Amino acid sequence: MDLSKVKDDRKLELSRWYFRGGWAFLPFLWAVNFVWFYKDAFKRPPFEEQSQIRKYVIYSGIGALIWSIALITWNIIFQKYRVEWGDLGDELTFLIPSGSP
Amino acid sequence: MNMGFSQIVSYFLLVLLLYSCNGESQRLRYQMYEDIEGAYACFRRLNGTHQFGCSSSRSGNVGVVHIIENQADSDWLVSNGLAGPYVAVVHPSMFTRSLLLTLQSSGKVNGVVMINNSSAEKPLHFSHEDTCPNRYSGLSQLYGQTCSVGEKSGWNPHGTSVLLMDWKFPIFYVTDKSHIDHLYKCYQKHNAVAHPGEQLERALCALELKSHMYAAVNSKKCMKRNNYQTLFSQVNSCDPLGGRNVWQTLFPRSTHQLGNGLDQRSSKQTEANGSIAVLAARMDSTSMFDGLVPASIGAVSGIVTLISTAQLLFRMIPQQENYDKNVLFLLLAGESYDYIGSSRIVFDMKQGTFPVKPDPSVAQPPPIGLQHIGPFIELSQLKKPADGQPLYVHRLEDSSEVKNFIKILQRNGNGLGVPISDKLPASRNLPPASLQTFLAERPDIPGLVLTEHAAQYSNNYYHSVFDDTASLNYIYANKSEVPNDSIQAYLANVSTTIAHSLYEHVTNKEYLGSLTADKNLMDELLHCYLEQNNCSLFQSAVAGSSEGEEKPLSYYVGVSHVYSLVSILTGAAMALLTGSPTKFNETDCHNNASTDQVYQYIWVSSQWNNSSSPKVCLQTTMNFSSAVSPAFIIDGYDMASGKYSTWTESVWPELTARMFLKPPFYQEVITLVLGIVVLGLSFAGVFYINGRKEILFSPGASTEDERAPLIRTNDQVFC
Repeated sequence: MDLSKVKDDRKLELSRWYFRGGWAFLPFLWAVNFVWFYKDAFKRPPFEEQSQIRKYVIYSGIGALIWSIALITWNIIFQKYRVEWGDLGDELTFLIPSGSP
Repeated sequence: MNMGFSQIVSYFLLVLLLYSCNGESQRLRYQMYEDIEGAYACFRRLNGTHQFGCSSSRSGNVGVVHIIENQADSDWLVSNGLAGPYVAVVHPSMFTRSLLLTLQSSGKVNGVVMINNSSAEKPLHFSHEDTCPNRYSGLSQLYGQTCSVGEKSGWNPHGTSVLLMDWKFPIFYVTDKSHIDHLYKCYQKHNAVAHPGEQLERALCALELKSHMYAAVNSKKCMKRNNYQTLFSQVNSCDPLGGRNVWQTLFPRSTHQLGNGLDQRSSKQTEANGSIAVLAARMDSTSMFDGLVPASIGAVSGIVTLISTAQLLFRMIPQQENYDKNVLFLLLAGESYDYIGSSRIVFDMKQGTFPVKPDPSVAQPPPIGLQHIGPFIELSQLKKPADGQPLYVHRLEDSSEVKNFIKILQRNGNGLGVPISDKLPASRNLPPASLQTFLAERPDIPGLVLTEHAAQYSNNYYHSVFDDTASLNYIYANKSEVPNDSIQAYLANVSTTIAHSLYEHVTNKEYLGSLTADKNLMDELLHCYLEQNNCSLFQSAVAGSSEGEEKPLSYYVGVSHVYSLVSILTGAAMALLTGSPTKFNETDCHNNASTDQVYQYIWVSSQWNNSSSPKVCLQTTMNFSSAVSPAFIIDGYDMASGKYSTWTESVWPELTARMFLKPPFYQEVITLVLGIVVLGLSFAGVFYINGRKEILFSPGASTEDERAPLIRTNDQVFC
């Protein structure tokens, strides 16, 4: 979809649904929402729906940030301690690396 | 004009496509690499607590060839080598624990290849086993360590324990002369330099070694991982070691169901305690390399002596005679790995499930228990001692029963030129032997181990690739007269000694007949086990079915779900040489476990020395029993407890080695930089054209019709 051809009210609708959809453990929707509507929320001259879009973009951005911090933290912990955790580590692993602990 | 250009482009692409589709690209691969066929690889084994052996990375380890012929070469590699990582190529005499450790700790070595063409001399000793084989199993369960031999430490004095270490690089063994020559030529042409720095400027001869192992850590972990199979990982990472024991009784054992008409030999009603004499030998050995486990002294000498003894005993004792005593012949599998076969038999005996699980619906002989055993004679590492030197009996027990049996053995042996010396029981010290497993469970078994060493092994190649035909001094006589000073004649005399002694034990009277072990049979047995496993005896025993190839057997026990050729052929040979002929034809010649659990029926050639002789159905008491460690049978067994053998072998996708010419470092850098520059230029080009697309592709310059597809769809080519 070419965003430049979409009307502002439709943009607000899209942004809102991306924000809502993100609650279903879909942080990528929030991240996309943030990137996609960033220009509309902050860079364009003011228009009617801008404040609402901005709200969704900010919330989506915060959500995506929290998610990425959480995921990166978990990833680091998991990679670091998987071997130490023994059987639990293996049970949490989807693809066990062959030939290593 | 425009159309012509696009046609040229599509034609060019078509040619390129066709060109890459045909064999040229494959041939290029063959031009780059020389596959080293027939290379033997070291692989990974695990026990309950550790991993042992070798593994490469998933895509294989690559290293520049460096031939190490002496200490200076090794020093050069460790301190001067600049073009690393290297693959060290060494001769057996240099293949030592200290060199391997030096190479490993240098961090410059990515793999090791041992080379040996048959013309090279064998090192004086070469054993990668522990100085005290099976250190943590057998009697050590009961008494702690039993490794010291007098003042010296360990039964296997030259043992380096290289087999029991975890190496960080792959290790291969190459014996093919032409490959070794190529390796040398390539090394001398490209790699040999005066100054280490020169190697950086040259294309260098390199090896790629692939022996990636799936399993890691220990058996406990990898057996558990076998259970977490997901959509993307459906292969096991390791399998338990094991196989099948071969067992046979001299007399058929009674099922309490008389008159079934099948008993040709008189069957015994019940067995008293201590009434079953056991004659045992191990059937397996090990070495560092997959598929190359010769084990002449380690296993073959015992197997052939046992088979020949059994054959003689069956000839000596008339079919219909009835005695209170019986003899159980045991050929055990997996003894090199903490006594897998014997520990399973002891476990089954304690459970009352040896030789078969009791089944009330079938008439079957009662189970044999540990209390029935007596005496227990084990044949371990026999070879012809130096002139006038005796064989040695090792024992822990000092009961009158053992002493009597040894006296009988000595008397019979003296008459046959097989002097036997009795080693008085040392305190809790017995050489590594299957008997240990039995004694650990029932210490008063009157057991003895008959072997060629008084204290430490005289076999300098224990558990190695060099324990071959030469270490027994065996020369095949091929149906001609067997010389009296040969190993065949000696082992035949040992067989006769044991058979006459067991005869005396069973019948309570001295043997006065003239039957002795057949030297020609011994010759053929050794030929089969050491040189050609498609020999006529094995061919007769398997009735010409396609088991066997024209090469020596490999005595590694293997994984438990694959029956090793050694146990199949040994069982068949036992049956062939001791079975009694029946009138059944080929279609009726099969076992029927629901009605007859005493005998097996096998279809064989009637003469062992002529595989094309008429076929006959033999009835035999030979049978197999599972040699899978109880550790894998007991639910929830603690793998770290050390009670039973927990050895497993890793699964691997491939074991390959190949040689190629590696370009110098600067050339690799140029290639990479060139690639990156081209990538950057093409991006810049696209960016440039994109920015000027209105000028370059002005509307109206071409029409829809003129836009021919780059590759025409009507002559599409699929590779």
